[in-house]
Amino acid sequence: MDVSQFIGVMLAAMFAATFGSMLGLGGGVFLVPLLTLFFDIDPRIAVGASAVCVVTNSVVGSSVHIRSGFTNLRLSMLLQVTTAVGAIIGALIALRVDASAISLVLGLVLLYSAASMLRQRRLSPPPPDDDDPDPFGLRASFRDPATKQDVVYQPVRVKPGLAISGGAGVLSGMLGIGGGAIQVPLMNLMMKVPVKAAAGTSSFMVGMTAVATAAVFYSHDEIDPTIVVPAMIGIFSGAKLGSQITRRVQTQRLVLVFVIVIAYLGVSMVLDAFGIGF
Amino acid sequence: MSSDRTMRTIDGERLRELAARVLETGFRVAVAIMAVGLILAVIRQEALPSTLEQPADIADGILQGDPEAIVGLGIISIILTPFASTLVIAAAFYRQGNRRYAAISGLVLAILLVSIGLSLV
Repeated sequence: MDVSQFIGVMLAAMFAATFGSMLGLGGGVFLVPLLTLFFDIDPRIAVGASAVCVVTNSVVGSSVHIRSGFTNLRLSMLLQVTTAVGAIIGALIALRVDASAISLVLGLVLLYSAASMLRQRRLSPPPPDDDDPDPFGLRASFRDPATKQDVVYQPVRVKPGLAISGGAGVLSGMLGIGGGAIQVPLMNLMMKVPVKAAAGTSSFMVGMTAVATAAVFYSHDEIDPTIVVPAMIGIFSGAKLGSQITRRVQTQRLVLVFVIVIAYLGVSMVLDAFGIGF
Repeated sequence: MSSDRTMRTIDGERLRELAARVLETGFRVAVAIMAVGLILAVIRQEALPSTLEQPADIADGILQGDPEAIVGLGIISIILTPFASTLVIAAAFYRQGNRRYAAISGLVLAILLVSIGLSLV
């Protein structure tokens, strides 16, 4: 690898990590196409590098999100149980199911989520009453630096949320994606978790999910240090920048960026299901 | 009730600080190890390998001061960091007296181990 490619991979990873950390995604959805299209890197090597980068992005970004109080650690552990089980099931049945049908379903789900988040972006869930029951002990709060106000919230519909999170894990395992694009709308739209808390919680979760993916690629000798090392340098600055933007940006603007990104992913998955490249 | 809530808040802040520190430390250790490997590779004018070595080869290489193995150890360190943070969070929940979430975090760790084990088969 020459110096220009080293710097190019580093900048691509920085871009992917900024958006990934800001929105609670891993960043792999941006990094893999950048590596394959602009640097002519083999797709499997790009996905292997991306898995290590998603872990790195999660580690760096989550340390900021956790300190900001955006990450609900109890919620992340609870949802991770069904997500991780779902991911194992998804990986085991991946070869027996038509991937294009799954891409179509996931694409439509993402487009529906984008439309719902756009419609509800101005609505914020009312703070819970002190007397509201909290059977799962998930009530949490954080101070939003953008508005300088404390935000108290309590995730609702936890049992259906766990079931859907498991379904999201199955899709993640089948399609080899991190799952942040599903988890953030799930937490925000269904469980009424504020977007910043959903992004912070998801950012932590995608790191745990990507560890298993990275292990698969490691066992198949498909992690290339000549790609991973410059990418990790870029990830460090991008993840810090992304998580700082999440802290300062107005929630409605964050939702707008998220909607654009998941709408893009939704359209590309639907087109992919019909064999049309995007 | 109010003192109970205050205690929970303080414990929650400590837990968050602990989790954030583990993640930061994991990243710093990984970067430091990789930096040592890269500097050694530049000094010896050796190129980085195109595949990450397997654990036994990395262990042998480190004993011989091999830059490839040192960079490999740095990459593996970052991959293992989410494990370490989940382990610490589970222990912190247990020390808080929150056995439900200590058990849930332990379950997450167990599932992660199973998924890695299945992927390596």
